[in-house]
Amino acid sequence: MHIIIVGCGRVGSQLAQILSSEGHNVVIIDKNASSFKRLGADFNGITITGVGFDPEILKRAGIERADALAAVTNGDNSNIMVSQIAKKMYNVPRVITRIYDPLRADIYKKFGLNTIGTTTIVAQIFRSALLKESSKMEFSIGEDLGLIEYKAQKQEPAGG
Amino acid sequence: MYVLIVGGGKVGESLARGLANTGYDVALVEKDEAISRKIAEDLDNVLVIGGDGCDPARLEDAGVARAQVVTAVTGDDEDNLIICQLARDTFGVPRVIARVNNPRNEITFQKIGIDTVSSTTIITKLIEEEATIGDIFTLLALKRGKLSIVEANLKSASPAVGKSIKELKLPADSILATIIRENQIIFPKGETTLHPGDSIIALTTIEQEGGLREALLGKE
Repeated sequence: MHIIIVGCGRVGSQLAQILSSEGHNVVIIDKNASSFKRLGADFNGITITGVGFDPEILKRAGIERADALAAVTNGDNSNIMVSQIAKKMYNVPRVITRIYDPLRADIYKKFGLNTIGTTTIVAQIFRSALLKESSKMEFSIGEDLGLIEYKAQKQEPAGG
Repeated sequence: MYVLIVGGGKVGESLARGLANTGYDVALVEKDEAISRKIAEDLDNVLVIGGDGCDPARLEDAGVARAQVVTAVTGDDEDNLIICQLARDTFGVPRVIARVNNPRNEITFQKIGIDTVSSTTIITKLIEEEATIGDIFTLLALKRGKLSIVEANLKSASPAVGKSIKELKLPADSILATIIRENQIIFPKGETTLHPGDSIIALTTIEQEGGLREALLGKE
């Protein structure tokens, strides 16, 4: 698959490494060239320095033939904008958007983006872990339903 | 009418000042605390709210639901897009206008259906015109620089001199509005004949400006 990742932070770089090592054709975009250091020497995808929602940059990344795009910069609005470009202007079949702000994550999910509201998800995982509850959580990702099951540890980890 | 402005830079502040002085109810949202405090001190007829206008909760604080117009004029295009989308699609604001800082982003706003104003594009077009067509002047650019009101001054050698309006081969998308002759204003009819020294005010699309110039003043 030809996959575009926008944002080479901790999540973006790790995602790029995983997908690339699985044999996918990965192009990663970040506005700071120094962010690509996170990718390590083994990464064999393509890196492009530039603003991810700039249509010129996306064309250089091969958005016209992309199978999927992940928007994982640290800016919610940048992620929303690039995702809408991918969906509405280039009909990229699979577009996933990371949004920190729970309100905006909900709103744009209703507008048809496949959003992952990491703040809400992580808060819920922490809650379950803190309360040592064995829990089952459901998260919907856009129109598709994503089910995440998480079981908190019942025992104190050794050395706490 | 209630107008909500997001972004308190030079554009946001002068827009707020102008609209408030014209008698509109104006609120302005600015995330930089020092800037929002300064604007609140300077403009006592504007409601200034400190906070991030991309945050739907802040927009609600600012009364977005009762705004007739929301305009996003921050320096970040992604923020302006999201503010306008939230205002229009979540809060039902009838008219939203975004400032586009980088002209390359204009296409994205168009595809998403958000009206834009790009000062960079407008200024570029105006300067291009001034630089290329010297004897036809733009008096006013309309519709984001797509349409303009221009002035052309006829010389004795101009091909339009001695001809009546109906004899002129004017481009389809242009119209002569007024002729100014020795400080007299003449509303042109088909029979009106053009004289040397006439100053012609015309409305034209940017594409047809070259054709209009050719019909009135000849080839460059």
